[in-house]
Amino acid sequence: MNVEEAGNASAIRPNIFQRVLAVAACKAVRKFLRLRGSGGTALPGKAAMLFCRNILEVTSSGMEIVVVTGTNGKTTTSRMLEHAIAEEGTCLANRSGANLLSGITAEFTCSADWLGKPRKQYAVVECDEAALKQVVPLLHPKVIVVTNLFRDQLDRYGEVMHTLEEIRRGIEKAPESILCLNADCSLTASLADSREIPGTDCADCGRGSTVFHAGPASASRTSSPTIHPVSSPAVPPASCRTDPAQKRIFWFGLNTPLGEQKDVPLSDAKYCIRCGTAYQYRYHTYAHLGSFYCPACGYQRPEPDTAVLEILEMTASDSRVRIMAGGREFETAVSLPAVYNLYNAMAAVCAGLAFGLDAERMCSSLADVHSGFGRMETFRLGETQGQMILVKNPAGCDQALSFITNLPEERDLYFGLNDRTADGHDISWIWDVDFEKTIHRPCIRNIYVFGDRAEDLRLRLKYADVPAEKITYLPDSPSLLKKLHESRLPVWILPNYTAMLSLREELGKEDGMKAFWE
Amino acid sequence: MNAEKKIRICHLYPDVLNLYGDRGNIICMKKRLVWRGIECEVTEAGIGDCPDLTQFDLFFIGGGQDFEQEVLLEDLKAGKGKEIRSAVEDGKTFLCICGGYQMMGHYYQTHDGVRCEFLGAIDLFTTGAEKRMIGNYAFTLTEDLGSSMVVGFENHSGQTWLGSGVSPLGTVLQGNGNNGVDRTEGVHYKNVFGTYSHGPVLPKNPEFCDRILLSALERRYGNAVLEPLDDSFERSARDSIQREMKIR
Repeated sequence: MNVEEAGNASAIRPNIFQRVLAVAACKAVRKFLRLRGSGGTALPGKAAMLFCRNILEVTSSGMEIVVVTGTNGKTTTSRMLEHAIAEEGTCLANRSGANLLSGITAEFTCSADWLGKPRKQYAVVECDEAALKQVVPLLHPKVIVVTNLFRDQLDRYGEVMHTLEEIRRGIEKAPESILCLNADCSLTASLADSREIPGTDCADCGRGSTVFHAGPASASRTSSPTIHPVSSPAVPPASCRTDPAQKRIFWFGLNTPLGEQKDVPLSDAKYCIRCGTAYQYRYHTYAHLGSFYCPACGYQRPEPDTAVLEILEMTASDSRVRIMAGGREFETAVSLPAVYNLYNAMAAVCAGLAFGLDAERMCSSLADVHSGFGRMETFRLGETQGQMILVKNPAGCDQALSFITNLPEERDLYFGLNDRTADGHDISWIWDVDFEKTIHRPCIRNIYVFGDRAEDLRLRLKYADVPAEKITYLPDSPSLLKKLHESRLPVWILPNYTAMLSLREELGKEDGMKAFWE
Repeated sequence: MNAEKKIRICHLYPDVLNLYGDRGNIICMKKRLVWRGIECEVTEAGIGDCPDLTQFDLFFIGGGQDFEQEVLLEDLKAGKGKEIRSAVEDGKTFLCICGGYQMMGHYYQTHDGVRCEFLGAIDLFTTGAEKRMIGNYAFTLTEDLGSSMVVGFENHSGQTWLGSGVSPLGTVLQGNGNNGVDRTEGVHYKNVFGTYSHGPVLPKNPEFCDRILLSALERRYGNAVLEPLDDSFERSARDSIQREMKIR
């Protein structure tokens, strides 16, 4: 084996013994963990990779795969896609949020037969942003979806530009994959340059060399941001869109403004990624998303293929929207509430089209999709009911709060904050959440805080002027469960990742809720 | 006692230096003044804004992304840099975090030797290290500043080295601080407080916050007293992280 091959797992062709051993190890470790009541998802994958480093390439071979990455909405977008694709044939998905190489490897390998041959036709894979570059060279996905980019787990990913760079590296390792990108996110949209082929000049079909060329962020770390020439406005000529088979990039977005049309105080993308000039917006949707354009270099929001044209109605449990997809218009319900789920729905429809599904069926499947694990999950609590929204970064938390506090009914609010490895050890993001704007609305009655860093949350709320008597600190899980069961009002729970896992496990014991790996 | 006292805070570059919840420091300073009946006005001065910096008592500079710091250096060269240097020499109070702290020094030299000229307002410089220094950490403030313990979260790859004429903000108890080598953390020069501590640093460390506020009040009004507040939530948040770090 030469050095080149050693650095590229997919270049090695495993022999049958390695394959069988890897599959057996994976299944055995998983079985063992399950018998002990653990839902560990990484260990079985690591066991398999011990015998055959690129077993994932074997156990996914021949399948048609969509990979979903990005900061927020990965799980929900994946669930929506899986829901639609499952109607076409057997579909594998890493449901339990095991989205690193080891977890994804375990999911495929345990689902394969004993020789490592896949048993399913399709797969929808949620993938961690930093793991993308390891995962896609093995999966050879047909479609890669990037939902959005926001500041998130800064201690793990570093700054948002670094995360963008990680995704770019992943995308570059899968040149054959079609991209579905969020047109409203200036950071995500800049990824289109990784699909350029020199010598041609259409950005929309991915054969462009100039239009979307943003300077690579790595270069800008030590020198001035690279400015690339713009030869034409970013709206592509219509001719390219007439041939969907040629399209390498599909765009999704919201063609309608949302909320107050003000500049957000804390934007993750205030300055043009290409030339450093402040963006301007034709309209905002939320956070830094919207119809951005750079007045200096012309970099701007690409025209989406799949978009919400109009929000007809929005309630606590769903919304009704008019959608443009595949060149046609549809009116449909999205059975998950809140604006950010409209983005997830558009990402799913867009990816479905890129995958080759029918636009109408894709849209109608949005009406009966169910939430993923911890995302808008509903459960019974004695007399009343609880709903859980996973929050792990300022953009997601602001969106959840703005949704909850706009509902008419009075509720109790529970915040859970841990700082374990899966959450990120840095919890400073709670100070970037705009609690000041939402937390004082009258529909919030009592506030409870739990988790390893509950005291930090309580302090944050104190400095947002929440009166001390309104906040209750719950030091451990018995006190949390007791309070939950005593509640008279409906309850919203906003936990971060591991806080959600432990609470879900506790509630599951009583409620018969499925364990997360089921 | 504090009737009609007012502190004017200038938040420098909130548009680009705003990572890791650093705006929590502004929220914290403002609240702790207002709770004591002292008026507080916060003005944001972003890229391209040119307010008269002499009108302010306290300046805050946060940490940011490398990408965005490029945009910022241009703006400093265009004029604010000179004003910041004279405000420092004039004894104005500054709280500078991470990238903002590095920026007060002479330069930043990356790991592969590229040198980026900074403000040179304080005798210190920063060199890029290969390994990022990330995690909860703790340090004790110097005797001058009351010796209290400060807990925070550090996340930097730059190693900062202090010149001979400036003193550190404190001594590292656990974690890396300025460079992971000499156990110093931050800088204290005239009324400038520079630190690597995110978290944000002030809410969980009210003594440090009050010390900073006091320096601005003293400069403006000659003498000042800050009556104690109920800091029980602050203390319990600090204690919890102290327990996690097993410092005692």
